[in-house]
Amino acid sequence: MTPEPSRVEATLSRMVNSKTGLIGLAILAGLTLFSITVLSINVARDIGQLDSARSDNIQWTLTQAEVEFLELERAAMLARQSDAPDLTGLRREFDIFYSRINTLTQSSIYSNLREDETFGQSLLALRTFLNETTPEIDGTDADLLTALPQLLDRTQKTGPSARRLSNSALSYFANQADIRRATLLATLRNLAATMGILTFALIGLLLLLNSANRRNRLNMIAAQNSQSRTETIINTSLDAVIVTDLTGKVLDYNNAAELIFGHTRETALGKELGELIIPEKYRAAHAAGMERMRASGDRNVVGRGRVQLEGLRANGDVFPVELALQAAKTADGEVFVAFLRDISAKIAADKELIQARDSALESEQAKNSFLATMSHEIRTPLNGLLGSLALLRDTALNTKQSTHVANMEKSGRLLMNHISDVLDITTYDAGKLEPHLGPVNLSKLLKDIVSSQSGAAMAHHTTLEWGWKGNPVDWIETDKRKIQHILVNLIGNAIKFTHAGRIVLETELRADAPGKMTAYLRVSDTGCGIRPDMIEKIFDDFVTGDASYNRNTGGTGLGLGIVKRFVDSLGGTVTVDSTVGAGTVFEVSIPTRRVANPATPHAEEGSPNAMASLDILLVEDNEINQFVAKEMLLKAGHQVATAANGKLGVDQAHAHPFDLIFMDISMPVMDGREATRAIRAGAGASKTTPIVALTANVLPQEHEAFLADGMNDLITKPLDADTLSQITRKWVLEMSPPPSHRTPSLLSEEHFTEMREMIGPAQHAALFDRVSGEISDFLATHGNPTQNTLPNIIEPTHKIVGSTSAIGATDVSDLLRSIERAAKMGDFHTASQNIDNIQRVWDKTHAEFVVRSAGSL
Amino acid sequence: MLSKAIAVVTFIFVAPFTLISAEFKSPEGDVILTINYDGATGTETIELDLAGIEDLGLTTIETSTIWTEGVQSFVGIELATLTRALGIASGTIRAVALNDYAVEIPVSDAVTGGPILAVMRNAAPMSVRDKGPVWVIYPYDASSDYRTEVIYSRSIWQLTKLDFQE
Repeated sequence: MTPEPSRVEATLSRMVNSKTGLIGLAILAGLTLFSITVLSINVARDIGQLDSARSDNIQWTLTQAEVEFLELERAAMLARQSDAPDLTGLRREFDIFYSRINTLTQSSIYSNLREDETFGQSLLALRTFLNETTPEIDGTDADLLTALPQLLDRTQKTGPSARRLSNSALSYFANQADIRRATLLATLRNLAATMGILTFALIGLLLLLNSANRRNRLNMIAAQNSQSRTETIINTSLDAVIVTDLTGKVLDYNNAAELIFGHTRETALGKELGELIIPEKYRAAHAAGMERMRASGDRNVVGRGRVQLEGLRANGDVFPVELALQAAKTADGEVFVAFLRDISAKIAADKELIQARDSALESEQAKNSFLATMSHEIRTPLNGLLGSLALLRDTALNTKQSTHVANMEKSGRLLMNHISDVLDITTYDAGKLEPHLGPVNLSKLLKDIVSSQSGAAMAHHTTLEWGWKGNPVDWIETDKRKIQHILVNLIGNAIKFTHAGRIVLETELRADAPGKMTAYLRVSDTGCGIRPDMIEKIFDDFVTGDASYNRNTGGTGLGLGIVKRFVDSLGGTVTVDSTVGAGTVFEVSIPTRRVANPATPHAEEGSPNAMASLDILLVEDNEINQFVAKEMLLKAGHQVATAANGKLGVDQAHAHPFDLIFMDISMPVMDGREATRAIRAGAGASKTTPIVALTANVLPQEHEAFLADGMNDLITKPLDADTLSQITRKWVLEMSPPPSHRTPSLLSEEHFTEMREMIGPAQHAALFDRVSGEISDFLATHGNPTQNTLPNIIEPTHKIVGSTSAIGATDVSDLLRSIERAAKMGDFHTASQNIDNIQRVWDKTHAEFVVRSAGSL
Repeated sequence: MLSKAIAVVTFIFVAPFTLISAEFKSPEGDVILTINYDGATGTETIELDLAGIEDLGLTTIETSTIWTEGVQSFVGIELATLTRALGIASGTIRAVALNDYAVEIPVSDAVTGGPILAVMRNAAPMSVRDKGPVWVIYPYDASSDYRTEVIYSRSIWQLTKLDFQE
């Protein structure tokens, strides 16, 4: 797909690496070539000198000079001896010799030779001879004949000079030839050496080029391999890979792209990408995007990772694709590489998964809502049933009837427990089971549990006992209801599986760290034990032991599941150790801490009967429940008014000031929550009366919602007499007791005496004065509150209550407490009315103090 | 190369002419050059005096030589003129000097603008002492081809006889 980089380019780039070496060699070769040229010219010159030269036949000419001199000498001798001398021949020989010497004298060839001393002298001698002889030769025959003897004599004398001339020339030219040969030899030697260097340079160049060539070839092979690898990868890629240029023209298109989009490579290549694989509705946007990229260089989606888009198949199908786009620069310009993955299968799988999850959640919700509804729907009639039984039990019954009633009650309670179990599991699994921590008297709790379970144990001829290991600790912080539930389940379980045996509940508290303790609760029995293969499963839901026991024991199989969940929610652990035939030990360990004995003076005070009779409004639509609850409250000595729905309840609360209102939640016409809001929002007589919700729903967030509506507390159905009396007592005591219900007391007698003995009369009086000042300050600042400033008086009121309580000013303290409460509830009317009374009551209190002080003196 | 060119030139110019030896002027003064060649009736001899040579038409060559100093002006007949007059286009010429020195000159050397048989040097007839009376002169300055040892050896002076041979 990427065009192979030009081979020339590759070679050039390779050359750069060995550039220095190559340039060096090239320079060397150039220099060598230059030297060779120069040397060759020298050689040519030298050879030219050897070869042609302007030399004529020098040696011959020189020896010829001697020969011609000898000819002249011979001709002179012959003429001397002859009677008829050949003077013409003599003259010719003279002329020839003359000509020769002329040549030697004039010719440039012999200019160097003429410098030679011997030659020069010999030539001079010969020229002298010629000059002396010429007049005689050029004279008449007679004169010549006369001069012949001298001429011959002179000739013979000059002979050695001619000889010397010839010899010296020969040796001169022999030397010259030697020198020329030596020069030529040297030149040839230099040439040979230079050629040697050139040869080496060329060989070096050759090797270098060869190596560069080999490297290039290897690189080329590597590039080809790399390309073929890339091609293989692209073609075997499961993702479609499409390469386009800047205009969107398809440059490459792999196998996967063929499969995914249905176009063959041949049809795809050269086409515009948009027309090929982009659904019609996106084409305009695609074209705009491409245009923007071309125009501004904006690479919006390039290198941005995977983007989900829609693709178009050849058959017109539009399907989801995942796109990753990369830009790359190539020799042919910028290209875009698109990696596309068909994710229709993944999308479909995701959708299925989401559907599956949704339906699972739906069914879970349906289950929870079913369980909650069922528990409510079952509890309500069951509540009525049990309440009626309780009332029936208090009527005159014979022994047989009492037994029946007791049995019915027992079955009813058991059924109620099962329903509670189911609801507990539902609650826990919905993640709504939160511990409600508070101070718990563990010893008392254990005692109560044991005594409540001992009846069942006795029925199995089993003894049930409890005790401390180590020092008893009464008060710890934990969730009482959960501990109770856990222990009841464990003991109930032990009783079920133990016949004529012994069950021991043992408790131990160990300190782990300062302020941190672990409570160990062990329930051991001498029952049948649990088989090892069952041990692991016993905390699972709906496990009910084996079939033979199942028949004897019964149960929902949720008991231990609930124990496990409750222990978990308290951050503890539960373990089991069992030996078949010998017994079982369950140990629950829960993190906790010691707390002080909370001051609960009223809790220990007398029975409900000891309480004042209250005016109570019961709002409940279910006739049986209404009847049962009303009977219980009446029995406790209260006056009870009833309302069958929220609307009627609101009306009654408006008309009459009740001390306490019990409010059912789900009712026709107007439900309990709306009714509560109406009572709190209105200006009725019971605007500030405590309201307690009655509900079968016990989910924590609902509890909070009720409080937000203005309710003060909540009790869970079924109602029982104990719970009702507890809640009644709690809220009556919380409330400011109406003055009509109690004896007015300006100043606590007990307090007065005690204080006076402790600090003395003077200090006592000073204390009163100080409180008097505080009250004045308070009234100065907060004496005239408005509805808006009401919250501002809560804290100062609370503070001043501390002071008045300390000096035992009972009435003023009560008055201030009621102001604080009214302020908290936003009851402006009560608050301002009571504030107006403060000064009057305090004055009376102070007067009482003065009187008493005088009396005690 | 040169010889080939000369041969071609010779062929072109020589072929149309058919001169007869009788046309040579008979000598009246001293014979200074004897020419022997193969005629129709065996070996024929032509003897030429200075006038006979001059009668064939003179050419001047200005050149330096290795035997003289400075540029000389030589006047004589072209060898090519002689070979044309004799109707000879091939073979060699055996040239003999006064001192019996002899060289062979190929007939192919005889080209127009080539060697001359010089009879005057610097406007004066040449004595024997001045390498006369006839000196074969090539135009040495005109071409390096004429500055070779072979050409120098063919530049025979004191020439007395030319023998044309096959």
